[in-house]
Amino acid sequence: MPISEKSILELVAFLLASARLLETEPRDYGQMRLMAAAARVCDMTADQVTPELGQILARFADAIPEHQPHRLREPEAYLAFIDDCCRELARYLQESANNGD
Amino acid sequence: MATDPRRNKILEAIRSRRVTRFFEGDPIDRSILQAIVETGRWSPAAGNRRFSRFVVVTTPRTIEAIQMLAPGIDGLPTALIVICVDWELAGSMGVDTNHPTVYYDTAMAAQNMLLAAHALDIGAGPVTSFSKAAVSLLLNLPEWMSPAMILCLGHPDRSKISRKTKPARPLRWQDITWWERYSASEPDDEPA
Repeated sequence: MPISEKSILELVAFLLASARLLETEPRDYGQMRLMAAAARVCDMTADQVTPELGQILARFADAIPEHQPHRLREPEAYLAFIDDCCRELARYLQESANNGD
Repeated sequence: MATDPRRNKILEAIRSRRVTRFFEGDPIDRSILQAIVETGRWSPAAGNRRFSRFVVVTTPRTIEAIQMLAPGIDGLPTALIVICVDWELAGSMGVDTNHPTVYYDTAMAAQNMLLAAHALDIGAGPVTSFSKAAVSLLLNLPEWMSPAMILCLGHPDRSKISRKTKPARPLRWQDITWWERYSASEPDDEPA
């Protein structure tokens, strides 16, 4: 399904408002907002990309909000989750490069 | 009014109130919104100087627009009460943006309205994470009035309640209360 104008508008509004709010909000809100935005992008684009990448993005779209409640209570585990997401993307990029994509 | 603390309806409302973040789409009757916002008028205010002003929003498109520019709003409320500060009035009484009592007054008005909503079976939650610039424009606020807090209201979506895991040991009032004076030791359950 093509990305709707409403989805794009929502995301841009969310990011701009979040950037402004960080001036006065707790520092860790930045991480929370970025992860929320990442989940939205994954959800919006999972069916717009290659099937392999789409699966990764779809998993992120589900996993990010699932891990959100643990952000404050288990910060190290939350950071480990973000690291895992980064590793998964790195693997995909590496394989794409090896395949000459 | 029952004086037994365990049976007092007001105390029970205070103990049972929770923040609601997800709502069903049915609109709230105007008479209910009026009853809720009226309690904001009756909240305490420093020196009884009332700088708080309220804008009630029920138009879905306005609520959607505000929600887009309010990272603190999770679901889609069916009504908003935006608590604003009349800085022109405050300034005329020597109160500026550095004066904390303005924000205490905002919070007390918010608390009254949150409890009133709960008493009327309306879900509610306070939000301060929003673009003040955008909300001011959407609500046509004059330059001397700024939004301080948004109360999100609606019929609770009970299918999404209690998503968070509960802490292993809930915080008790005994954990955060000292009698007569602070002590570096554990708070006392009973007065000395």
